[in-house]
Amino acid sequence: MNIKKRDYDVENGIFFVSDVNGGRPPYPVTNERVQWTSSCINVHCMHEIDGTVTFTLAPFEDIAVPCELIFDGTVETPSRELMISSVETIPLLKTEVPESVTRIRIWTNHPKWPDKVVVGWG
Amino acid sequence: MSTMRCGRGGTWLVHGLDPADAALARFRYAIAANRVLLAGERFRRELKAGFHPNEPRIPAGNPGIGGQWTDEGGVSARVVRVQSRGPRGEEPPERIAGRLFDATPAEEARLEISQAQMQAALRRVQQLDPNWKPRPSLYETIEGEITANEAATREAQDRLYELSRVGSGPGPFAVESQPARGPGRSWTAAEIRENNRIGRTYGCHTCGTKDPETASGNYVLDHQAPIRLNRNGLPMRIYPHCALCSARQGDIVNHLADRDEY
Repeated sequence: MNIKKRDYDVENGIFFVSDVNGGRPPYPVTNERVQWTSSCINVHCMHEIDGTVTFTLAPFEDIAVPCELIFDGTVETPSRELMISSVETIPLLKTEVPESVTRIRIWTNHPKWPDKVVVGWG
Repeated sequence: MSTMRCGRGGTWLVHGLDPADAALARFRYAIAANRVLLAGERFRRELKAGFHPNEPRIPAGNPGIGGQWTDEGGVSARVVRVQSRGPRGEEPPERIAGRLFDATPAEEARLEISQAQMQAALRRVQQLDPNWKPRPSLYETIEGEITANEAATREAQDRLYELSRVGSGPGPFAVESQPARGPGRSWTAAEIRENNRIGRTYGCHTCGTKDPETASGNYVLDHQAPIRLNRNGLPMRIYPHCALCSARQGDIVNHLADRDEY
């Protein structure tokens, strides 16, 4: 089991999934829940003013799929290390991945203000 | 608080707390005072010498013609305006693109002002977008340099306006704000109440909406300048933000900040 969890008050109500060395975030941000480039995915979640968000990062096969799937795609991971980060680029969770391009699936528990986010890789 | 007009016809708010503004105001005052003194000195010289100092002369040291009045383009010797020389004629001329130019006091003053305005505008932009630079320009005269400085100032003001539209810098709907205790984000109930009051009165400082679009209905408390971009530790203020503008700001901050820092 390689499941990593963290509770965090998310500044700006947005987080990023990318290689640990960063990526090119989508621009401009719209009302869409998820936006992505080949190297970075950004996802809206509950804002820190409203409370804490629980993040889970795990290999896909270890996840008991919890809620609504909002993203299924890939992200470049040239350093073979994946991270979930905040606007202040604090790595919230990191994990090693085997490939330079990693399949990512993201589930959230609310269409607009999720306080549970699960990121599955592989 | 004062209002500054930007290059695209809009306005944004400039807060008196910014040390760059205060320094610029002091500099402008000094320039204006110097111009008055220069005008007085020019008048005194005209009275004393009985000639107009703008009339060009050939510098001393040119055998046979040194000191004579001349047309500027009519001789090969470098022409020095009398009023631009120091007491012993030792003031260096302005060097532009490797060539020497003599500037009148008026040109020197305008050049200084344009440089100060450009540098102040650049400082303000680079607080928010550290890697931004104006487009480079070529110029061959002092007037050209002044025009280039003015163009760079306008470009910086336009960039500042763009940044304010995405939440970096106080936005076009910013009217009231409250001081931030620091970069932390642990808010007191009073701060949240005050932020909501400002938000319900004037709307989100970036887009003007009166719907904060958060689960609790509270406006987001937004530091300006954004914490991650405030590398000089300038005093910050808090403005009400809606959730979408806050997310957009997060994205632009990620674009602007140096991603190598981690």
